[in-house]
Amino acid sequence: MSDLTSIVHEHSAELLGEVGVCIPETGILERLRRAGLPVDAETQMVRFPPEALDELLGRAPRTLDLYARDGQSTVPFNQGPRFMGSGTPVAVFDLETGERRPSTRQDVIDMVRLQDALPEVDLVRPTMSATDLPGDSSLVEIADCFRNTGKHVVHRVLKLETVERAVALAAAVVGGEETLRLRPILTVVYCPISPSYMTVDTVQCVFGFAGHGVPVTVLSMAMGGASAPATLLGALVVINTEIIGYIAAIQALYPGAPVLYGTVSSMLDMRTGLLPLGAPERGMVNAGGALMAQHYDLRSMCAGISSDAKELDAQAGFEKALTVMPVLQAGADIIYGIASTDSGNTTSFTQAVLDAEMIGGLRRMLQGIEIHDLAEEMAMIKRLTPRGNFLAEQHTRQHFKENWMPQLFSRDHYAAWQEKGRSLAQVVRAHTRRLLADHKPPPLPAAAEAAVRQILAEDGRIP
Amino acid sequence: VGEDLLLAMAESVIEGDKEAASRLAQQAIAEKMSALTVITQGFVKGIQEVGERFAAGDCYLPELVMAAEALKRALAILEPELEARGQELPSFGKAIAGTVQGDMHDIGKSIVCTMFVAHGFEVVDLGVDVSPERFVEAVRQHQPDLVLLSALLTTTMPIQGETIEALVEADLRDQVKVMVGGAPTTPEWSDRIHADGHGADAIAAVALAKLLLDAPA
Repeated sequence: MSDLTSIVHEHSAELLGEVGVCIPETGILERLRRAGLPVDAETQMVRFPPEALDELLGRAPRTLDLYARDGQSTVPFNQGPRFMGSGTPVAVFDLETGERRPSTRQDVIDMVRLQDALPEVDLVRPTMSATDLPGDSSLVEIADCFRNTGKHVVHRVLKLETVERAVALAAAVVGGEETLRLRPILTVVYCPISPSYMTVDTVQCVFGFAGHGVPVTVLSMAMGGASAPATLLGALVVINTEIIGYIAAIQALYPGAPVLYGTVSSMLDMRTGLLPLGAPERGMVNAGGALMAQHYDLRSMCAGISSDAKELDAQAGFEKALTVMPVLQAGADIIYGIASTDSGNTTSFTQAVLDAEMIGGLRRMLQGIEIHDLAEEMAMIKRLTPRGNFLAEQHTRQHFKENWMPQLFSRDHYAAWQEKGRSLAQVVRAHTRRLLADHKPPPLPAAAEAAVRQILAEDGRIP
Repeated sequence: VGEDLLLAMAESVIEGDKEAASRLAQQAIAEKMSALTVITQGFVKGIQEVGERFAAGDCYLPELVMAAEALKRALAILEPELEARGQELPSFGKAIAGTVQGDMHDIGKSIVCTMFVAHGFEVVDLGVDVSPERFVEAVRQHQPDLVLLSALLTTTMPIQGETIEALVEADLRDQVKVMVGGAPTTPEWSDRIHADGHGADAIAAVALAKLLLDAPA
């Protein structure tokens, strides 16, 4: 076989068989050894012989439904790629002043409400950190997500002791830990340090959540040219190896634990040493990840719709579309990137709204020219040829809405546009303000709110 | 020492050729050349050239990092010779650098170290995942003028502040200038944690360090 996915898999299998992935946590490493995997206590590497790898990957559930907060509706993966907020820088562009400043808990709350209001967003992330809270603000951020959106929530915590609280919190919201297991309303994301290393805290959180049946995304953030080879193919091998390696390790200890295949990788900028998120290679390599996830029949979370731009400008528009197209076309299940700007270092309310606008147009384009029966249209065309008018036809009325209509981009006549006198940035800001003012997320039921309060009080980050 | 040999030494660094750099350093020792001369007039000229090219956008990180590696090889061979003669390299100042605890990101910090060396600073690189205690210990041991704290994760940024607090508690804060850097950091962040300054990139960091130490720009 010489297609992309087979080549990448073969090389990953070779790496996992010969080198493995690192589990620098003695207890978990020992459990993996007892599960029958070759481990090296000194290097803390666990290896996966080919048959074991196939068997372990086969344990991951083939279908994975992610639930809305009420535990009823699911994220509609059957309707094409779903979108989620990005995460989680410590800065935000202030909606009113445009100034870049440290992000606060109120920003997190506002951004969660905004994502709740945008139909294009299916999975909600805090998208930034509450830097006005002391220490690890993760648990408060998760609580504020559940309080301000009815949609599925994606986030993480930083320490094992917070894992139990996060599980308790999600369980309280959905109605008990058993319900949470059957109907997960929270997905977590954890990044290896490429190639194939995880910190002790990350390992503990990953296995902690997996033990509770909370879906865990192994989210590779390989940097081609630095933590992975500089070619797209070589980088994809590193990305795929660490993702399936850690997924196999999870399955060895928790058979059937829900997992997602995630990649938010890119290629290092060799002038600055920074990771550009608006590069064409970003969409390309993460689209490769989407194809690999399909190869293993796993749900994917792939970054795209991202940009290095610092404002709503031509660069932002170009890069957002450039990076989302390949992952959309590759059929990623979840596309990660709403609200992300400035190479992921700053979150933007207005960019989130503009992202949603773009998604509509991009989805439309992906549909392509649909082949359908032309009998009705042929009769109409014959009747109206020559010089007929299709505008007043019933057929037109039935079908014109299939074509995309922007909400915010201007299609006005020049004079009309001039008359309105507003730039796109101004239009987007006004629309964002309106959404934030008008949108009322479904409130958390009183009992759940009380339980959330109790858990937060124990965590002690907020009064 | 012959001009050609000094040029070859500089060239070995420019080319990032570790083997050539080691060979030339060993040749210098075998032929009893002045270690100080071959470092300052040979190898360091190479890293200066690469640093200038990098700042001008004429070369890129892989070239810069490989040049630093080649220089490091040569210095490892020549430094014992300097010490034996009680000689020291001329320097604008001494810096210790590290990526803070919990953070494994090496690249940005290594670029900064290389640019500092290229601009005539002595640099002690403590590596990654460096705890506040290790920074304190290193300040005691090396008596640097500058402490450079790197963090690439939003979750490890606060450790920069904790490291500065540890220096305060150890009564060492007044002896050093502390600079912070890394993708999520800002000048405002630097102020907030009472650092002496923020470097947006390696070139800006060198300029700021020179300013803080009153070195010629």
